[in-house]
Amino acid sequence: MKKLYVIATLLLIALSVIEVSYLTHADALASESMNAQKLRKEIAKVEEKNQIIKSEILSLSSILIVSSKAAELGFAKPTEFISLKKLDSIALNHE
Amino acid sequence: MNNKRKISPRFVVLFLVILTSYSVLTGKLFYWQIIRAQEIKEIRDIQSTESLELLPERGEILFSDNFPIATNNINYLTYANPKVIKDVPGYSNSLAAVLDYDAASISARLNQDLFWVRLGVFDHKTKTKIENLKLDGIGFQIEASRFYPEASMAAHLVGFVGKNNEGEDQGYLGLEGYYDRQLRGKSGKLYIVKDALGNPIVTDIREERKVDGRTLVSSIDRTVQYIASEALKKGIQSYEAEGGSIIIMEPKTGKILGMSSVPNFDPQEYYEFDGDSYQNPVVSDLYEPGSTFKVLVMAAALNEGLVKANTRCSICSAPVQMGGFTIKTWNNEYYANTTMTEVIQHSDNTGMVFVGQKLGIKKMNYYLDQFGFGKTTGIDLQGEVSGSLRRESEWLPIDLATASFGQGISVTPIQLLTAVSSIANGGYLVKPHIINRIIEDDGEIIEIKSENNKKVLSSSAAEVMKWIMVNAVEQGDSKWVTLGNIPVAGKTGTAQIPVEGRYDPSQTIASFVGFFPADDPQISMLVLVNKPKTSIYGSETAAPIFFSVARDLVQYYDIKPE
Repeated sequence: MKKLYVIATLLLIALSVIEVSYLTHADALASESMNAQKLRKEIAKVEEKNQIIKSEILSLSSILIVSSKAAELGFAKPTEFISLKKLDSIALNHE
Repeated sequence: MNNKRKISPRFVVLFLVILTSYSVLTGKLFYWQIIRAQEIKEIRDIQSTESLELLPERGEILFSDNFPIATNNINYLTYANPKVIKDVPGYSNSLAAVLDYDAASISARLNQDLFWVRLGVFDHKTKTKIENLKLDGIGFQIEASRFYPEASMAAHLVGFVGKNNEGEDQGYLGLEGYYDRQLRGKSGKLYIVKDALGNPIVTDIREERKVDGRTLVSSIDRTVQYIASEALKKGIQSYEAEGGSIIIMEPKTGKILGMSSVPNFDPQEYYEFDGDSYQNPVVSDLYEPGSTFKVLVMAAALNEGLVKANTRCSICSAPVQMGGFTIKTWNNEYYANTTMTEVIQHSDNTGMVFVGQKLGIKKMNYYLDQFGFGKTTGIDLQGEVSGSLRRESEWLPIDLATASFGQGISVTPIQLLTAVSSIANGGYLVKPHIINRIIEDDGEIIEIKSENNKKVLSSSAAEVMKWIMVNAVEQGDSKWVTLGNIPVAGKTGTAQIPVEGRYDPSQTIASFVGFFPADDPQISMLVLVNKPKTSIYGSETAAPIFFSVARDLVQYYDIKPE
């Protein structure tokens, strides 16, 4: 009879252990899911910011903006141009 | 003494209760999870599986320096819930202060008996301003939109993205239209199983991968495009013209380096502009090329050996009578025994009639076809038209005469420049194109090679014609505009516009087509000025624009004389 008592107790313990480990696993899974959700939201936010910054950079480096800024700063288009030939180079002539 | 311990009845009861509970639970689980598993799975899928469409990002279109002509941006669909707004007038006034709306129109929207009212789509800066107002019941939803950093600088070239009948984004005209399927990509799906609280279960996420649109790398040089569009805008303003176009091409490869037309539109806000302005005149408009066409007819005659540069014209001393028509020169000046070089130099219509007659209808028709007229060039822009050629049987002698100096025939600007480029590159008809490389979603690069070009002129005929054109620039009606000691081959054109079956002498399309440096042409260019008012002549309107752009390009590409 003692044997039966032990078996029954062990069975109850085993079932409880299984239950607890199942709950622990489910809890871990749920926490992981919530973390993943949080990360996904953060990624979306960073991507959104990234896109906004990229657009701002593009707008500011547009040739139309750069040229108007250059004009504001007093840069003017040359009226005539010269091209230096290698032989005429002053910087390379040490004599 | 009895050694046997008696089991407590309480233990037996407890044991049986727990065992029964587990058995019932196990049985029930077996029933739901094994016997009715499929049915339950279907119900679960409906109740807790969420399927999200993963929208692909539309591919970018890049200039040759990898700066985007077209890219993507984020905007915010902004809405409000009128049910939670207590003070509608105050709320409307606050919004009106940051939006470009008047308070009354906002108030009218917010007074509706609705839970959701659309306020508009705004950019990030406006969204931040709205957020700072800290108003109740306001919400934002991210919306992807197309963004053109250089605004209208390359509007006709790039086209725009609108909505199709299904409400999906679709590219229209230009590169957006031509490469729409490549740019679109393919949407994916994300299946998420959620728990009872609505949180996704991390182990049960399935994804059908989205494929983003392909990136297109063009041959359009941003600086060249800027130079061209600015010079054209300035020219159109100075000559009080209705519009104009400019195309810049590499004559040896057909690569388009720049293309601009006025009037244009802002592809970002295309809906604010008249629909007529969307079409790219460079590929969609037919016009009579006038005197710029003379170089092609002359090249054909040289190629056939029917004339040489020093062949003398026997009918150029006076106006030519033909079938009841009198063909005069543009300035009513006549040069007896003029050479073919001088015919082009003086832009002599009677001299071209002489050349046309030598060529004959059959050969004229053959060369028009060889030069690509009457069919599309195949440029990678949506909206290209071909125009049409008369059949051989439909030609009359007067048609041959007028066609020889570019009247009574219609071409697109891109057809003309492509044909003239064959003189620059030694006789090959190149296929004009804009996209050089396609970059796939996974980074694989597809190089687009220039197609085999058709030989339409012999090298020697092209060479002779080239120097005839150089002479036309140096000695002709536009000799006052030059490019220093860099030889330019070119030809002016002043085509009258047919109005109700007659030519209106006051309305012209002034043009200049040419290439440089003539000894090794790197650039070919066509400038068109539509109905200029300060002067009707190509030499006084289109030519100065051509040389202004050419001067900047010589500097930019560091082109030196041989």
